[in-house]
Amino acid sequence: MIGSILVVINKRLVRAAFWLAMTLVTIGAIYLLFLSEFVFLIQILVYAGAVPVLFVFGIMLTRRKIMDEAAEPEGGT
Amino acid sequence: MALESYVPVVIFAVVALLFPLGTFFATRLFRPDHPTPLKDLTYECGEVPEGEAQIQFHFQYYMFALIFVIFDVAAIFLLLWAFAWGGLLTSASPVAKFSIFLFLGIMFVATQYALKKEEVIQI
Amino acid sequence: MSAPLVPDLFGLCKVLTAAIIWIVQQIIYALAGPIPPLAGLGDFLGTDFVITLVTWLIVVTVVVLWVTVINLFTIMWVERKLYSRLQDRYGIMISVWSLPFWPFNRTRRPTHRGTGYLQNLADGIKLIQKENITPRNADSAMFHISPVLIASSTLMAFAVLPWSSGFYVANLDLGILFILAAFSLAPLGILIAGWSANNKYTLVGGLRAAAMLLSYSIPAVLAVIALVFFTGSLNPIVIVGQQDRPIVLAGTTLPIPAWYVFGPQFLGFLVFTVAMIAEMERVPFDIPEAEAELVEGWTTEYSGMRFGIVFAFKWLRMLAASGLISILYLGGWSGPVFATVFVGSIPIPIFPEEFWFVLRVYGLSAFFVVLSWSVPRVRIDQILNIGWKRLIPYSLLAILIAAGFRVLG
Repeated sequence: MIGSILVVINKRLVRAAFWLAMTLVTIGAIYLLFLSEFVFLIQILVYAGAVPVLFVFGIMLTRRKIMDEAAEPEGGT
Repeated sequence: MALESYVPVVIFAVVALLFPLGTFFATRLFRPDHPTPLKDLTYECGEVPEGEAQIQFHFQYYMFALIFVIFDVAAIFLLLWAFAWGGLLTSASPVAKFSIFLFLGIMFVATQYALKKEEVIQI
Repeated sequence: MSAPLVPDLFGLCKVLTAAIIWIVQQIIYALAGPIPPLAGLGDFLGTDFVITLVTWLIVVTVVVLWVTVINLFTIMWVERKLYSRLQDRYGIMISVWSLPFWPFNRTRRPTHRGTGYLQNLADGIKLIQKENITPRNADSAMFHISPVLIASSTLMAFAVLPWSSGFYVANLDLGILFILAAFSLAPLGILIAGWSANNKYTLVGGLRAAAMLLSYSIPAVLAVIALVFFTGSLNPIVIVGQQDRPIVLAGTTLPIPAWYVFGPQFLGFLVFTVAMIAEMERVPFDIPEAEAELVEGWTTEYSGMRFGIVFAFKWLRMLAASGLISILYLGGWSGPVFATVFVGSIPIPIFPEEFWFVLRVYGLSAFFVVLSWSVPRVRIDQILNIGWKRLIPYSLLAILIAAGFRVLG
């Protein structure tokens, strides 16, 4: 829960990706409470392990200060 | 079902989280803490660092991460297939038996094609 | 006839817990005279729930200490001593004979001739006293959280890694998959650690490490899938149980144990071993840290105990990987001799299952150490090419071979 809120409100995208991973781990724990341990492990293996890494790689391909520059148009980099 | 067997895992997870955290906080008691501007500089072999590292950066591992996600999901399919293979052998339908090989072949060829682009890696 | 030293870790710890709780209860009941509400607390401590919870806590603590204190120090000592001998020198020498107080500081025994076991402890104490520097430009929160992620996820692998048929925390049906999942969380931590320090070396090191770990976890998973054709299970204890018998070939019993490495799984074993060497970031696959070009890779900006943790957890990964290889392919804790002596009516094994398992783990680790100090480093593009264009086809081939053998019977 807290993690998912942090995903949305965080301005720095890499931080958001980190909290996304944490959220996905906790979602996996919810699967475990539903007695589906295979789905839980797959959730961690694929979603928590792989997808945020892909996101972080993608974020690095884009401009980092994309949020800051919206505030100050003449900003460098 | 197996939920009871996960109770120790959950306790282990809590302990595993607390172990590095506790170590980090415990070291506060022992270590000095005198930051100076020179110490806090980013390490660049003694030079004064130029620019930032968190820039837009064309780096070539993106393709690998992309294929990795695909392969990870495919590996899960294969895992389920491996569990089911004994049952599939007794079933009569050849489609059920051999469609996975078609899948494997397509995936393999596509991967090698996608990696053609990444022949040269600079960093 | 196999016998574990610890037949049932939970049962063993439960005795300990009962004793502790009984003592605490007596103290509380003694105090309950002047303070009556404490009697309720004493009764509460005697309930089944509290006993189970405390027992699990003790079990977990025992395993964590066994892994991080005993095995971590031993493996570091083995590595440092072994590569020193490979380089024709003595290596670390600080041992109990270097301690500066009485029974040890004998003049006849020079301090520089010890076995060196205490060197790692001394290094740890030194690291604890070091200042913890956070670079000014770093993303401080992520910089501090990512080592926790790396350390915890690596430690989680030991939650399901059994050390013998009795010495484990949890016995899961999908234990092997759990270990692989715990391994798969580390790349994100490494990537974020590299990014957050805002240093070019750490960024490049983190990127390389993440790409490499991702690439090599695929062959590992595929090799495990090839093994599943034979085991039909991912429970480590079941897998070891299947290997605890001699090979029967065409009706004759051979004097070779039926480890999965002997037979059609050999290719899978090779692929899995190479992938695991990469997963623990050792030379030949240590391009993420490559001292010559990237200072210390993604750990460059960490100092003090943070560095100690992220550095030491490479050895923990090595332990976990060695344990995984020996469980999957090398017969786990099955061994040739299980001598037992009887003290009263309690059998105490001389060569317990733990002995054989630890022997395998350290043998494999020593092999990795010798390998990593005798071969050159592989370039990053070569690493990725080996991963994607060699190991993955080989592991797919191993899957096909395994499926074919199941067809034949």
